[in-house]
Amino acid sequence: MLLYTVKRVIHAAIVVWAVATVVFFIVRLVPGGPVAALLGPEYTAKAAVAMEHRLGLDQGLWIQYVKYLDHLVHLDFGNSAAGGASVSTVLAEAFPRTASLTVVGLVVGLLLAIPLGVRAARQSSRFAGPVAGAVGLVGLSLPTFWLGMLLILFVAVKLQVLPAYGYEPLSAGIGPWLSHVILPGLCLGVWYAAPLVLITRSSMIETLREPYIQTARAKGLSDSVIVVKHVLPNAFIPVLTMAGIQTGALLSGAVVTEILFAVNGIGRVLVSAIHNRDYAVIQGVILLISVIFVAVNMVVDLLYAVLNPRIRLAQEA
Amino acid sequence: MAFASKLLRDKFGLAGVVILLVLVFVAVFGPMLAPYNPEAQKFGLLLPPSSHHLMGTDSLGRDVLSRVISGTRVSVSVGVGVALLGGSLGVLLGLVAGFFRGWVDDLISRAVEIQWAFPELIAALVIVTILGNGLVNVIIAISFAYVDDFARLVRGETLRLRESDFALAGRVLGMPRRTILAQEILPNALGPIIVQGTVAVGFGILGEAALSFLGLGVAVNTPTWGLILSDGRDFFQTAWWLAVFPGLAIMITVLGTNFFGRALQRTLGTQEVSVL
Repeated sequence: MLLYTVKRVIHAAIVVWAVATVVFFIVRLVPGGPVAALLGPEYTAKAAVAMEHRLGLDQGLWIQYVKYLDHLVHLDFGNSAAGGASVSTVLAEAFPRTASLTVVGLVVGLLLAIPLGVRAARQSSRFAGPVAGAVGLVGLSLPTFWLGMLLILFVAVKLQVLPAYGYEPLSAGIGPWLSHVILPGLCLGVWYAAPLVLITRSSMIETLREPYIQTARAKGLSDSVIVVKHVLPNAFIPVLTMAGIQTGALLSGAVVTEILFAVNGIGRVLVSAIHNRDYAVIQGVILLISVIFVAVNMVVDLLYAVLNPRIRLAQEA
Repeated sequence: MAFASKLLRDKFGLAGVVILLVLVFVAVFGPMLAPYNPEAQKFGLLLPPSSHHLMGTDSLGRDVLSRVISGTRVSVSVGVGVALLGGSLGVLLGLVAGFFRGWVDDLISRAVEIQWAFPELIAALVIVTILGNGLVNVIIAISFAYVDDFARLVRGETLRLRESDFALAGRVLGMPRRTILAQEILPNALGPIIVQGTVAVGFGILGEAALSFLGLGVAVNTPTWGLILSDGRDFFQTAWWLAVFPGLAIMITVLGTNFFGRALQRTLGTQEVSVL
């Protein structure tokens, strides 16, 4: 297990480095550049040279790249070209908001998808099957922000039970925080649940057909013991994969959702950085999201190995 | 023929086919179907739906129904474009990786993995910023996120098919590798590719809507479903029709592609596309 973990961590680190490199070069392809965007009407040739020097853009590309990597290793993402605050500070301020939405979305999604998918796989349930199919197909076919607009219309405007916009930090109390994150979280959660419910159902159905389940039945084990001890660990491998892969999509979804709900998270930071051609901030946001995504998938891979010793042994051999 | 009737007997297949046919009809004949000029700002502002304006009017006094109809063509073009571009690139990469294996496969698989680590929408945002707005650029930007789906799928199929009897027979007969790939392997992998392609059309439409919503869509003055929703953002709390109708158009369309893809998958007996 240790060897497998080490291998997996090294692998993840290489992917992160590759992403960091691609981001560095891609962001420099953005036309306009930060100097013109920042100086705006005050643009003169002299001011541009001074600004370029201040931002370190007058150095060679490779020197900039090496410096960039060196700073990254020290968790220094540079300074925002607009305002001059350090990117880490900007991200540290915005990220908890996005994380709140994402985590609420994740919890809502898992609570919706897994019980529904598991029930839908049992032949005895007459309603869970169609409901699971509908949640899956409709959920996959909606734009998240549209679902958000409908939720705002119904819950915030018509019923007036929750605020439509804004954010309160957790430090302001759990009530105000929850009332602001529940709508965007619900909207992300339904979207996250859609593919998950379909995969849970089909994976459960497939596992229930396995010969060892019949053996367990023949031994006279009760249904709940069979499901908990034999079906779930095996059926959950594809569910876990999907849950991991969808986390990236969930973070992307949070970007659009937080703009609809006027939450100043990393999505808003990213969109305004794109408008200002603020290289350092764009880099920081993309790296942060990619690192989380790679890390989540690494944890998922490690969980596989815990769930299924065959995977662990095959990887170590 | 037997295939078509089997597809239509599936209730999802039938619903999907009907939705997609209506959509193509609206996309092609849109300008003739629209009751008004979609850009004309000559009606009352924010009028609720009525017999004159079935979907109401927007904040600039434009007829929402005419805009939704005129947006069909662009939204559908983006969806189809994404499936074609992402699909061709992914299929090519998957074929090459699966057929040649070895370092070529390693290289392609690693590249696909790095692409995969970029959150889809965020990558599209940055690509549109680099390339600028416009139909083709939006298609390129969104396609980037779906190349890996096709590449993985086709790589797996190719690995399986290259050991099949007909591919081996081709090799024994001394066929060039290109011919084996194009005439033996690709046609046999077509089923799952088409299913994946159908689903990608829907994802493309959703991607365009999200980009337009963030103000980085096709163009500020070309109505697409996403742009109509985005235009209505500041007003929909008092004018619900600005949110409901364009969103319904997106949902029904994507449901259509998903229904069709799902029925196709069942009819063809392929299980490779994971989500449906």
